Amino acid sequence: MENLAEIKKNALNSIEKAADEEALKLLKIEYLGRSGKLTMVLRGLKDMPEVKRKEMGAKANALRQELEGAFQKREKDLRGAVRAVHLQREKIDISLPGTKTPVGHLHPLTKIKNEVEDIFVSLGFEIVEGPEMELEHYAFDALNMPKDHPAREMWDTLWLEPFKDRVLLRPQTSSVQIRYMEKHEPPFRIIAPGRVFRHEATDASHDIQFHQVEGLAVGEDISVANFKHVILSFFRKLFGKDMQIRLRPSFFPFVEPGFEVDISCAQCKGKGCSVCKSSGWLEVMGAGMVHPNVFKAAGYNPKLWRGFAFGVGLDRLAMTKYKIPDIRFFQANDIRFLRQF
Amino acid sequence: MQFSYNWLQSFFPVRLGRKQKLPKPEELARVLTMHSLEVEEIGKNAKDTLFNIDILSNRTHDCLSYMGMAREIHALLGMNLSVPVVKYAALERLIKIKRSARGLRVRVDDKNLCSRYIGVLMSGVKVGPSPAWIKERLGALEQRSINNIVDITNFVMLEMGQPLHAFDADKVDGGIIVRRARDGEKMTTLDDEEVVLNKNILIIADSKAPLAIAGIKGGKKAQITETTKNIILESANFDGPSVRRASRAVGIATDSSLRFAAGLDPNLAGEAMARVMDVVRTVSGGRAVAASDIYPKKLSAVKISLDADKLNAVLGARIDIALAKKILERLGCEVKMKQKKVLLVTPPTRRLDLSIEEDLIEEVGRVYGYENITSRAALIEMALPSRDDAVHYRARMRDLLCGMGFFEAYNYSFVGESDLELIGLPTGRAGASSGKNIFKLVNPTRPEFAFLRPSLMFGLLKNLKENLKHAKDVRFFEMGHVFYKKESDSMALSIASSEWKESKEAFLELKGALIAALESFGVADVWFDDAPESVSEYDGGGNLLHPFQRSEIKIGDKVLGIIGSVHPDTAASYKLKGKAAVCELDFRLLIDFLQKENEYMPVSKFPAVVRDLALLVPRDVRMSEVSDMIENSGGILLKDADLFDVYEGEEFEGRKSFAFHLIFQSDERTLSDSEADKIMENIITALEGNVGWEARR
Repeated sequence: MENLAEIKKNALNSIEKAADEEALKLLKIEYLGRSGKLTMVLRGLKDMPEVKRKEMGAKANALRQELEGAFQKREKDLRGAVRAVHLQREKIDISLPGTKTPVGHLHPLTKIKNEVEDIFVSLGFEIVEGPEMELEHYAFDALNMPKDHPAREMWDTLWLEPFKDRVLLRPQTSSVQIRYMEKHEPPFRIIAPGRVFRHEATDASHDIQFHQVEGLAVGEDISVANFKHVILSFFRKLFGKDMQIRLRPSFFPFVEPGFEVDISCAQCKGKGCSVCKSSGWLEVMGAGMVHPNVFKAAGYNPKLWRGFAFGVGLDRLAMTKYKIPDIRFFQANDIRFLRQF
Repeated sequence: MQFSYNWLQSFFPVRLGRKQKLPKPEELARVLTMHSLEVEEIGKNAKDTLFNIDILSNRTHDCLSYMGMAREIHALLGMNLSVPVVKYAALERLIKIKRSARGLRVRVDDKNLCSRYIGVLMSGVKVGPSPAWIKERLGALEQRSINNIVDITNFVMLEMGQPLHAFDADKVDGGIIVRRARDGEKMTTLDDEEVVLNKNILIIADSKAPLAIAGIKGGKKAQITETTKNIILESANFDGPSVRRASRAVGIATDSSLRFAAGLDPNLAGEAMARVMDVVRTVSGGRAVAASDIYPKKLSAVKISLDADKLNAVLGARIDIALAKKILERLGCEVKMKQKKVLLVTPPTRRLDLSIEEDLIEEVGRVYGYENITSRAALIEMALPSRDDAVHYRARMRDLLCGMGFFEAYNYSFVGESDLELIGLPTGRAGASSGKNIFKLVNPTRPEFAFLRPSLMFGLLKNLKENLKHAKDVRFFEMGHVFYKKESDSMALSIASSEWKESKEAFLELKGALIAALESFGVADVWFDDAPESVSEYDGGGNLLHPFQRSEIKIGDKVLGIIGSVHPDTAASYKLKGKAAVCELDFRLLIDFLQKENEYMPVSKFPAVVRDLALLVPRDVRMSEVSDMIENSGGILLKDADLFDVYEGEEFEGRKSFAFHLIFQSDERTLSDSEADKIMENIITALEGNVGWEARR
């Protein structure tokens, strides 16, 4: 019978040299199996005198643990080596294309609308909607444009048959102002996004239908200064912190005073280019303080309430922000165009 | 309007030996744009600079003239304005003394349409070419020089904003009559165009024939020619709306009609007449011998209070009341202190746009400069804005559909007659009257856009067609308003592929997508019912959808919309290169069924037992009949019956095979095989109770 030291030496040596899991398994049987070398030693203990038996027993058990540990470690190493080879064999060309998942895209006008809505909601505005097919009353009369008012010429309107019913396609979203005020009490802040229609010749910057966002804020103490604050916050969130705005006088019958809001040209940063016709500014919004006659038409007392209103063209904003050269692309619905947004 | 820089400069001459120079053109343009009216373009030539200024409709009555623009410059820059001398007193004397003395008779029949008419007879004028200075003024604006008399009327109109006219007095039979034309009455214009008039058109006539269309265009009859010796000058005020309508009716728009249409101050007619008489006398000689001024209701100035507190509250500024007063005075208003902080303002009558306090606030605000108002956050209530369900769910639905591979389309809200005929919707020859269902435009821009779209499907079909030219598979959705009987909020999905062999594939693909979309909003109880063959809300019962591959989409007994494969004839007429299906739902109706609250249901801890069932049934039996029967006979332990195969082989002789996975599961225990087997037996017994139904074991 080999002594323990020899068993240990040979066993550890063989374990270290075992070429694969199969060889290691046989080796394990050779030493730790039912009639393995170390097992035999342990089995022979019972024939030894007590003192010797205790000493040898402790040593043999310690060796058994040591060998078991060595087997485990060697087994793990061998398995790891095999796994590494397998993994290596599974190496792929990571430049292969991924499997296509069909993904759609939002229309750029929805994208810009979402951005605009998110900004105004964060500024405390509520989103409301109104009909596209509108009564003359809401589209004109209640907006301080009675029949024969010269300003009506500003909007070349599409009318529905029969003409005597005076039903039209709204030329601006301002009609929502009156509809909302008739049903709500101030103070409030709303925006009303929607489609509007004009009877006009189409070209790269004009179409017979386009989209606007109307805004209206009414309270006891609303001022031009407040309007400037809201609208500057809006444009800076939409176009970036460097964006400048300017208000210049303009005329819309439903506001007094009325302004045109220009933003600094994003293309040339105000230096002047073809987009802004060398002026450095882009006209993007009509606005003003709500005209007392509009409040009267909606049933409000103009002495108690003041407000500002504005209208901004979504198509124009999208064209500016995404650098789209032709407004008619919006209704073409070519997926090669839509995929870019 | 085009403005010459040099001509504007002439209103600011040397004063007390000091030159008053206008700012450089670019700077002047900036000042005008920021405080008055937008200078849209600056053009230069050798001697002059031309501004193209956008005169808005509320300032046409005063700023569509050099005087008006010069007054604006005066108000903004404070330079001393020098206006042409107007000898109004001389005119007034003539009117008083010589009325009807030398045969100038004027009669105004319709004083509503003509609030003032001044006629002046000048004798002994010499018609000829204009002097250089008038030619230069008109030439700068590319106005053609005709003869001195006509040029002078144009010149004074540009200078003062009042349209003027001159008649050859010797060609006028009797006096001047301002009256409505008779229906069918004809006049030949100065441009040799014959115009047919009607009773809504105001004309200037003599006792025999029309001489001019009031405020719009002169006639041939009393035209000024080389041989003209005596003239009648006209300076009048015609009603804006009626000039606008008449101008549209006869199809003639002129510098004159444009000004009258916007409305003019009748007092201006007097000043302009005095001015034009003076220029005519100086340039072409002649003497005013008779005058008539019919002006029954003199326009007088209004008085408006301006409260400085309100001014500053509206603007959100701190403008001193003295500054406000100075600004208004420079604009030509008479201003008095009414109280300590209140001004009493009398604007000149030429400022027809100034009638309420807010108008004055705008005047002070714009001259002061909006750039000088500091932006400030409004003090607002803490109340949070409420949420509109339609807005919210529409946005979420859009995102979901994009995630499912659908592209969002925005189509025109218009369709043409050929679209509507396709679905058998009656459009009628004469309009929408043949059914109040479809809305027809009075003034469409083109025939393909003559009606409002009753459905989103037309647009989507066109989108599929266009995109199938370069893509194999196309999916589109659109959210928008449709117009059928009323305006409603619609949602439509469409799908097409050039690789599908049968349109059935399109139908099932779209149905699957629709159900998945609805389920993710918690709508599980949607079902598909036979679409009626008669005219329905969405389809029109015509040729849009395949008659045997279409269905109504329902929840309970409510019809939410319709789904179907595209009819092969429609596919052909839209030139679709593939098989396609579309569906459309009423979005507002759908919102009511979207799940707004969710509640947790425990997931069973016990394993499910799965059994397969294959069943032969007669070919006309629907899957839904089979699955209903399985569910009714399966008891509460049957969790799901999932169809995984349909086979219609020849070997089944008129029958077809359905194969289901049946899933059994308890929430309380592990089911045994024998329990599952027993339920299977019950189900099969129930199914085989039908003639021709046979479970394949």
